Amino acid sequence: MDHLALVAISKIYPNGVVANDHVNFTLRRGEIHAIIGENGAGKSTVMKVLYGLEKKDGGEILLDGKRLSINSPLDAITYHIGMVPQHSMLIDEMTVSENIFLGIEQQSGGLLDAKAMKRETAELGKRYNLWVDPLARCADLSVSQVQKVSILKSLVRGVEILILDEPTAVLAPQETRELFDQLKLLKQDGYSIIIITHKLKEIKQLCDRVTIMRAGRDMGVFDVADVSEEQISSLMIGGSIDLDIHKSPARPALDVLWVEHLRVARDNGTYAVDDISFTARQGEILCFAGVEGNGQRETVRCISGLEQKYQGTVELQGKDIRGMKIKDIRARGLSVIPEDRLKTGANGAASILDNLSAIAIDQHTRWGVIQYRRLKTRASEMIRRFDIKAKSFSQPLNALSGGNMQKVIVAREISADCALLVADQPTRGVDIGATNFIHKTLVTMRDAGKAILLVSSDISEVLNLADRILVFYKGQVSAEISDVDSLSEEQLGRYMLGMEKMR
Amino acid sequence: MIDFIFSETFLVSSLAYAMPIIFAGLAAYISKKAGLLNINIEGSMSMAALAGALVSYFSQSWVLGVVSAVITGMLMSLVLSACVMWLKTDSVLSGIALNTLASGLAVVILFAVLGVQGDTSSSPSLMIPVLNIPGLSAIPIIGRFLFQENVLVYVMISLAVLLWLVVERTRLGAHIKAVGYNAQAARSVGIRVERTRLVALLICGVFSGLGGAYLSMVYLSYFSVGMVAGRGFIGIAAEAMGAGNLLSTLFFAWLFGAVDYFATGAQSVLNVPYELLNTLPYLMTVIALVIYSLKPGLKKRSRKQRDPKPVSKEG
Amino acid sequence: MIQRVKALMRADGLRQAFFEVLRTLAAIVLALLVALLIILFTSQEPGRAIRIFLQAPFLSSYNFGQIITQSIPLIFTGVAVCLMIRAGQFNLFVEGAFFVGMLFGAVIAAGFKLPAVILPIVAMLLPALLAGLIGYLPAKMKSALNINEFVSSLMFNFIIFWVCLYLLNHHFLDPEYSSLATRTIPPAGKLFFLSVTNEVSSSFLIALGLAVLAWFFLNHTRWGYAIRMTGENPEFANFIGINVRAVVTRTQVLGAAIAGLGGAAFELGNFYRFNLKALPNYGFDGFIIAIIARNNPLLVPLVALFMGYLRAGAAQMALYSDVTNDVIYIIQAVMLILVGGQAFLSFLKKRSLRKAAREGGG
Repeated sequence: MDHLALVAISKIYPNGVVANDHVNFTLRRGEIHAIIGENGAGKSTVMKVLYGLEKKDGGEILLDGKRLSINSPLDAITYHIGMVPQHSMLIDEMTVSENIFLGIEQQSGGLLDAKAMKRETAELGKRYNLWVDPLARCADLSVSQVQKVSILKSLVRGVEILILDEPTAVLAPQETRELFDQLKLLKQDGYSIIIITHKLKEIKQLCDRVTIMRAGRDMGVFDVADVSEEQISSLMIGGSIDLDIHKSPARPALDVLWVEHLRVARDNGTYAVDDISFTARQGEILCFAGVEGNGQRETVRCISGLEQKYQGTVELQGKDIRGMKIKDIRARGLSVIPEDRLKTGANGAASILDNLSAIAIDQHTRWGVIQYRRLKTRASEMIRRFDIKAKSFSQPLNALSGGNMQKVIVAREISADCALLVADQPTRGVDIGATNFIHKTLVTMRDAGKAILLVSSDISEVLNLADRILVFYKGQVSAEISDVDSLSEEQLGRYMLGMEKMR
Repeated sequence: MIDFIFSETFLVSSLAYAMPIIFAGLAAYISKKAGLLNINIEGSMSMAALAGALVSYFSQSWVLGVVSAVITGMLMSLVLSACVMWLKTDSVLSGIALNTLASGLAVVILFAVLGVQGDTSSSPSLMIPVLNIPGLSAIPIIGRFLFQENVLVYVMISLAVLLWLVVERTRLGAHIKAVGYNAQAARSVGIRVERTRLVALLICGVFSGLGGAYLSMVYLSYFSVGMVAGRGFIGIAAEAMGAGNLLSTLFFAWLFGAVDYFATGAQSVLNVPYELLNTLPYLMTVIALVIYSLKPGLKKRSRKQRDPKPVSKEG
Repeated sequence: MIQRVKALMRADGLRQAFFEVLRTLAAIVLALLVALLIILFTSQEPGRAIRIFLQAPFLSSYNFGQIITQSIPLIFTGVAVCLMIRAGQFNLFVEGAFFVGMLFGAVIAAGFKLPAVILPIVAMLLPALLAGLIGYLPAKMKSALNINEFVSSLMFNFIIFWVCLYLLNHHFLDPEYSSLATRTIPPAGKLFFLSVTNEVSSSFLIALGLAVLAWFFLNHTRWGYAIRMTGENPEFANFIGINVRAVVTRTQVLGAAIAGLGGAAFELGNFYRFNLKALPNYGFDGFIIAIIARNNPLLVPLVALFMGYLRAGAAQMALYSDVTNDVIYIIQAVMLILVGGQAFLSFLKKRSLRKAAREGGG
């Protein structure tokens, strides 16, 4: 009998997105099972349902054949299911052993038994090669040490099933190897392990079986020994957007953006961006392809002026923008559609009008007074042009659906007369109609002579739109492709997953 | 001047002036540990002072007076918790509102019970006595300071030690700290965040209560409207400078009290008008806050590689 | 008719506003009930006290005038606090700023020989400038050093209070007057009375004008836009190029200046001398008013007038019955807690929103 079985799990978010569509998943005792898929495929969601962080809308969870009801992480832990989250859930200011025993502190005579906790931490750590100094402050730990502590945190609560969410996302190669050895040790001791990941190579190195997810559905479970990387990747990376964009060939002209030897360091000494150089030209859509977390975000932050600490040069329209205020960088011809909509790109509480007009306010001001009449005309025009479904522009922005909110942001940035438009994951979480529209708009802008920098981890979006592709892998450009038409999905996938390098 | 500062009088009197601020600082310390900025310490102290004065007068027992002051402090904390966790009013707004409530209520109760306005000097409180350890208190300079102090001073010392023990060495303390540092992470391991915060606030109320009792039963022998005079907030500032360390908080609270005493005492020594001297404690607080924020080493190192989650005051 | 109202109700914004009004009214009613309960318990003749409290402001034209007069300082500080809260700053320096305005308004008007229209203007603008300069200190402490503006502004209130008291007692005293006060303000310096019988001065008009100006500033100028965006989402404000630090500093300075102007205007309009010996608490009260007015400067005068009514009533009650007028503070506190409470009556809002969604409109 399977140790764990998830049967027909379904999860639909209130905004209508189907995150899980009758997903099946089984786990055998003492195996390491990977669940793989692209961003948005639903793999994190189904595990969150298992761990009680999300409520399922359908399906069952069976542990050793018995039906379970899990409503919170505490329930999961009582059933000996533990999760090591992707982002640290540790308390930075407290020590390692304090964090491990948080909530289940050991006492002797009414006072905390710090010695016993320290001892147990060390013992457990040594046994599974997960040793971290029990007295170290968690703020001082490296990412891989944080991970070890998170694993220990689950182990000390007696879990038998361990879920790891993208454990190697920001680990260096040596740390990854170390983690794999530790997981194999745990496996030997009878633990069953689930790994959520999108990294093909590592599955081959570590796991017994793999379940592939795509667009909310499970595409089947396979023994890792019986299936090739190509097969996995083709099942995993299917176009989620099948649309035809009729694009005339690009006619790139002058350079607009010039980036040379860009390096951005992380706190732990490694580089998030490791010596990248490129140019963006008028009339061309340059695409940053690649799985998230390989340096794209940091590069965009440097270009938009949000990140000031970098090595190398960034020039916009011939001027070095280091140290420039954001207002001036924008005046120089930059528009940005940011990755996180509501946090950075918009003001949810403000009206749609205020959001649409955000960049144009200064140009439509006379003696300090905002000329709202002109802005309102402009806004109505934008709402019409971009087909934004809103009752009136005095509504607060957060009354709109996600797709319409994104349209507002896109409308605002595009209507500024920019030379370079940076679009960071512009269609993520956006419905088909809006996505199609945004794509068409980007092409129109390109034809009008703007330079477009598109960041996307969706392969078909990349292949449809890009005139030139830079594939990001581990902070470097693993491939630069100018002939997009003859590039196949599989080949692009290989570059993205680090299976091949061009230079 | 120098021997003024190092005199026995200075030690004893500076402590006497500092006591209300010390209690306020301790109150702020425990509520900050749980992640709350309790603006209401000022109002709690006021109500507690009133309670202490009235109860000790009517019952002619200082013990009852102190007890009632402590209970009053805890009651105010309860009301604050209800506003923040139940009604979901912002904690700063609730604090301001409860301070306003306290000032109004104090006058109304004063008038209703004693028929007077302004203060209870016509019905003086029973003062809390001074504890005198004979022999030892005769030691020059530090004798009186250590062995002939008011009962509340010894209470303060023992409670401060107890507080430190609870925070650093018990499970409750670990949970309080966890909730204060990262309520989300605490919740994920099953810690009951609201309940823990409530306990911390109740402890805070105890200290506010004692601070109030000290004001109306030691510092003065009556309750007077506005007698707290911002000491609750100075206590909060002392905690801010103590940065989570109990001893530092106590030190800064004492320092502010010493400046307050110096301002009063120096009137006769220096030729500076008393109004300007009265600004000293507040001025010192401001200067201290500025200096503290300029020190680079105290800033927490940011961890940029992990997604920085926005930390709200309520967690 | 009902159909038309129902249709209007379906409009999101209007529904929202309706609920806010409902909640505010409920808060007022509950607060008054609490006050009435307290009066019931502490007074020998509660019925009479309550009657005086609620009716007295309408019983004589002087009393009615008191409603307006009592509301004037509250409008000034309320508007000032509104602006600062919209920028996300909980700054209470309006108390000290208003105090400075009152003192220096009186001193300048009494001390300088200038013609009739110019003198009051100068005597209002200079204190505003001074208040703004002093207010720059806690403002800069927040924007540059991230020092909590609440605590620092409170400290500054106390510092400024004592400094002003020092200046009053040692430099600005009127030697010929019987008690501690500044010299008389000459008729040239006074603001004219709107109605002499009620003693309502034109400072009321200045207050109203300022409220309207502030509303316009906030909603129709680019600086107001920057303030609103900074307060609602500072990351977004930064993203579109707003200098968030500068907005944080300048808004707090502006708030202090407005409070200073208000203090001077109030002094020149309603008094002949400055003789305060304690902080009048207009700052805290202005804060409460701003919150109840939902940080909308246009609503501040309404709320302030209502508070003025309550204060006038309480003052009469204190004179003619055995209840002190500090009952006002209790009312204010309860209102603040309830209005600020998101959970207060929110279940009503949720039920109706769900109903609207079901009906297919929403």
